Amino acid sequence: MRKYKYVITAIDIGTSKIKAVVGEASPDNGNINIIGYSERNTENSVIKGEIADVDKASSILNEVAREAEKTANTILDAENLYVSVTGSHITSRNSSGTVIINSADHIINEKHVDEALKNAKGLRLLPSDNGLLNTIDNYFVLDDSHQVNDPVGHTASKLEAKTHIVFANRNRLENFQNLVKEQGFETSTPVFSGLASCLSVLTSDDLEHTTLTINMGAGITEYMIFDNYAVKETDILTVGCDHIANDLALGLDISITRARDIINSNIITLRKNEGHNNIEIKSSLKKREIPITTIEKVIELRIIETFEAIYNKIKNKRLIKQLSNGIILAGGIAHFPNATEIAGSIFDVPIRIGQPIDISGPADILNDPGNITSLGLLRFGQHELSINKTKSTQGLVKRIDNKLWSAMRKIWSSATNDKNN
Amino acid sequence: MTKITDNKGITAGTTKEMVDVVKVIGIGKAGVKIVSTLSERQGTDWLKIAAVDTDKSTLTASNLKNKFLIGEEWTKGLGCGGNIIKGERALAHKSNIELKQFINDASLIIVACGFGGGTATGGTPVLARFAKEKNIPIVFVVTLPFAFEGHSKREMAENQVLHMVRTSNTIITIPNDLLYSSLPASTPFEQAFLKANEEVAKAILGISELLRCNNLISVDLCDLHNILCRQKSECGIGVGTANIEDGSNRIKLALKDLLESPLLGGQQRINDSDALIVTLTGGADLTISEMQYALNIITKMASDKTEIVVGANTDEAYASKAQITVIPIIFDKTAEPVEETMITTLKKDKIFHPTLFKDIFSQTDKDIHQPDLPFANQSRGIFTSTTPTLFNGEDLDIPTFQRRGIHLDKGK
Repeated sequence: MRKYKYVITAIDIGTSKIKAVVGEASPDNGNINIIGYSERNTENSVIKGEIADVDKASSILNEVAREAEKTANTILDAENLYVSVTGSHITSRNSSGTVIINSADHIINEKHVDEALKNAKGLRLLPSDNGLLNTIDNYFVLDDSHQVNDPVGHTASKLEAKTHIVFANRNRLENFQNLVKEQGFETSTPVFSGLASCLSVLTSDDLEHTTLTINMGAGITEYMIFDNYAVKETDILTVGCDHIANDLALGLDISITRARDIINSNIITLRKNEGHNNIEIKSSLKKREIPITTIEKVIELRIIETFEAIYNKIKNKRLIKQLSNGIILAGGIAHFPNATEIAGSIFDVPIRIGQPIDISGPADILNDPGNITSLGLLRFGQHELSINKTKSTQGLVKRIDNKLWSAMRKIWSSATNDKNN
Repeated sequence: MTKITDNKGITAGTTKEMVDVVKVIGIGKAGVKIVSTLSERQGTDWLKIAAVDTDKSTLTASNLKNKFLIGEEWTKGLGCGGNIIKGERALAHKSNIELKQFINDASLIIVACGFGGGTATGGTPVLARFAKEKNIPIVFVVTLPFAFEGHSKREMAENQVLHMVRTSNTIITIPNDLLYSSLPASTPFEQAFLKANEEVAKAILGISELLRCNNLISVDLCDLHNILCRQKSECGIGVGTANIEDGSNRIKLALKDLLESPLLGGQQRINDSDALIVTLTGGADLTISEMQYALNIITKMASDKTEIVVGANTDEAYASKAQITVIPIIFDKTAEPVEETMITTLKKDKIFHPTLFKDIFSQTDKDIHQPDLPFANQSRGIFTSTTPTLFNGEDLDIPTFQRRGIHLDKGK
């Protein structure tokens, strides 16, 4: 069994698959090494992103965790375990918290910042059944006029922290955590899976300019808009690739398994390249030839509708016009060859498929857009490591000068605070 | 949208081959007649014209070189009898390799057809897909059936037009009823149809010229697409041509000819239109005063609110001639804009909401009622036992095609 200094485990409880990815990270540089990987089909124990059958999901997760441990040849560190959370119960809000600086010199210190952030999280404003999932520190405003990203050391008489908060239903959030607890991992950090997917694919340039990340998994679609290192909007739409499979199953009179096969394999492209224009479906009695155009039509209609729904859901339409860095697609939707084209025609901005940044490991893991959430969880974990480390060595010269790294760190400074609350 | 705006591709092709290959395809009975009329006109030699139909007799009657009989295996060459699915299947069938090869090297495809039947109504989306795969811009010139041809035909045609607009195709729809507006009532029936075909043929020529000619004031396919993809629209089309030998003022004559175009709908329609695409084509001898005169008069005919896109081209083939093409576009105000809002069947205020319960029970407001149960043919499949995903009054768990009422070809 090998000893690694920092082992981070990502557990992604998705609608189609439960995955565990083990990464070796160091708080000092940006790269993450993948050392273990395992995945299992959920067998309908997760529906629309939420756990429907706890017992089944638990036994699957147990298998996944054990296999991941075996492939990584190390013990999973319960302290550094991150679990993805999603579902129709996720909501978000932009909020702000103010602190009056009363000291004689009016210089802002870390305590003031913490206080302002705490106020911004405004827990008293929460509906009773909602729990805090993640908060992202967007920016600070000094004396109602001056906007800065790092207020420490500035002189002001009033400090206002602007944050973006992602909420989850308390019970359903605990569902996710309990599932991990049952495997013997007492402490796990829940992370909104939409946020995780942003983390693994956004470059520092994307964070600075306006970018929309759409993570369309099997059961649910999450999206987040980043603008100038701040999160502007977060939302979910409970439509996923399973809806496409369901449409095909109902429309073509085939089983859901067969429909998923058509979607997950590249059979359509293969048949087209061979010059065929249909797919043969054999049942015990007879053979049927389904035209590829019909399949494409069903898929296209659903994708168009989903992107249009997202377009309409985005509250601040001005942001769509500003999407200078375009849209990044993640999750199962990225497998559909015409998804980028459809999104391009609806949003009229450049579209690309998310590629994990600064993560090394087997190519088949990195190239699968379905793994983007898991890889983002690792990234989240790595940032927490670095924050903890800087806190314990406060006063030392910051060794981190990577641009992306510091940009990400800024966003993360609140994550540890949440844990302490 | 990206396909059409990709105009650079077209220019690149021009420099390489020097000549753009514009292919005109007529689908269905009406389409074949239109392209046959087109091929008989002068100055159309550079267009590659093909006829496509499921009915053998239509193709036999046409004297075109490129004729494709499709779906012969199950229609026995007798047409699809107004069945959209048969039309779609016929075009999508693998035996149409020749047709695919025909459109392969085109730099623009213009499809002429009449909606309301089976072959054209069902087949056009398939053709659009072929063109999209090959990255070729495609424009549809579609005639809509006469009102007297019956409500069902009209509805079928309009639904398909809406579908085509939504999937961002450039589609020019010309209602046949416009013929009434300008032809004298005593015009023989047959002649009216001939005249209509002639006009659509002229229109196709006008559109193809957008690409071929030396654009002085440029109007290209992007302009056309940008306006047409906004909303479901009804267009007219008028082409007026005059030769310098006809009289001293060829522009005046061309304008007169234009206003007499039966599918334009007269001066009133120009005034009513939301957008107007005007192109003037002439030879190298076209003067600036002529251009100004022509465009001025047309601009004056339009109302203040009309969005006008003006273009002027010259081409050697038009020496001593002048041709004015006008496409008035009237948006269907009852249809929701495609670009800005989601296409929903239910209005937002009709979403079922718990707080409305008391109104339902007290029945004070007749407008508020529990939504009807979904139609029997709507099903939720694997989501049967889950919470419905409601968005804008629709249950997104029900397949999109079922909610839109689209029929699927399940194969055989």
